[in-house]
Amino acid sequence: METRLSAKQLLHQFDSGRGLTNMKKTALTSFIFTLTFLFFASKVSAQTLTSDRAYSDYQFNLTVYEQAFSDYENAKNAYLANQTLELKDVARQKTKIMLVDRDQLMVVYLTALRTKISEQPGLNGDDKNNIFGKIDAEVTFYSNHKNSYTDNSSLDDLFATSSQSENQYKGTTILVVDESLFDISLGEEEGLRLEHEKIFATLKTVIDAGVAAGKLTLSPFNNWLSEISTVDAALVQNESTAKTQIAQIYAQDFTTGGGYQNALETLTSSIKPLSQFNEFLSEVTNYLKNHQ
Amino acid sequence: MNEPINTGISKEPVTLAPPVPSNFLGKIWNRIPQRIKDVLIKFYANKKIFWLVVGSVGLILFTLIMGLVFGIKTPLLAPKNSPSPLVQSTPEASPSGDILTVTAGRLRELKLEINSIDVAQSRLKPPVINYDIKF
Repeated sequence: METRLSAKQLLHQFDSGRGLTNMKKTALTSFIFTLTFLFFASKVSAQTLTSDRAYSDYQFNLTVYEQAFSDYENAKNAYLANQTLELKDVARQKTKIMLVDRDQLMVVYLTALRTKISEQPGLNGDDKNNIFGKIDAEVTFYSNHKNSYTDNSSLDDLFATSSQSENQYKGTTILVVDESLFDISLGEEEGLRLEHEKIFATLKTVIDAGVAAGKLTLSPFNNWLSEISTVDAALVQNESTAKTQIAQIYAQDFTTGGGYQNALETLTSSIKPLSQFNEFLSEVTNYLKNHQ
Repeated sequence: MNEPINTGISKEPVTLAPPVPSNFLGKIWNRIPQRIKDVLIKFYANKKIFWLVVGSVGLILFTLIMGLVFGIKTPLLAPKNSPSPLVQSTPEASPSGDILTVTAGRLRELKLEINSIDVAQSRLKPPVINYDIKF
């Protein structure tokens, strides 16, 4: 039974050492609690989803799906070889697991694409928001759809629900994936072009300063800068053309892939002028270094 | 007259000596003046006040510790030894160095990035899914 101690009793406890022990216990408990809290608090730090992390998640979920599909096939073949009620139920369960994993795989894959696009410095906010809206709608579909499969669903129900996912993939998802892949490449090329444009602007400043100081003459640079500007303009034009081409995929039969392939070819054709842009700027840089 | 029987027991009042704590904290406690001891004991005896105060102080200390551990780190201006110079056979230009040298280096990096572009994004191709699952 717990009793309250008087001040005298407490004094005696403190003098005899028992009170000190209690205080030490209190202090020690508080200290351990604080350390434990700090330990876990240090573990809970905000984790930003990078494209590498998202890609790893995708690879993991791909492995999970492939294993589930293998299990489904084994169960299916076992049932077809010996059509018992028990084997049919096992096949039904494996089918359900595989279908849920398949939807989850699409969620993670689309998220990996989204993360990669978000890291492209070459894409502007409007371009990113445009594709993000489409990806998010797909992610929402698969996230909700995977919950449509229930443990009690019959095989026929599972097949019917699976066809919804198939229709979504072939009707919409594949187009969003194509546009996403295109946007990633476009973002990389635009990012590189912008980096070269910055260097181009810097070199122009150096040339202007050299000419103003009487160290350089404008004669070789006028034509060179004009040539470089032409290459830069060609890159900008290619990007614009490719954007128009990729927008056409939604107006075509998805099986043709014409708009996507054309857009990729346009982006591929930009690599040569991009290299030329780089080489011309390197040449101008070296010339300036040699004439300082 | 009855003679007092010598029992060997002292008639003087016996005072029990307080047990002497053997540990370090006990020695410190014994050195604290009685007035302060009384105040501390009264404080410890009133559990509501004791835990309220301990809780408040603990919260303040905890906030301070969290701030020190996770707060914005401001660079200390305490003097420290400068690192020993690193000797390189092929010195690289620093950002504050010659702008043309820096530009040439950046252009070389960009050249590598251009050469590594994979327009088809082979690594991110969609997974192969077999939708023919009916049986």
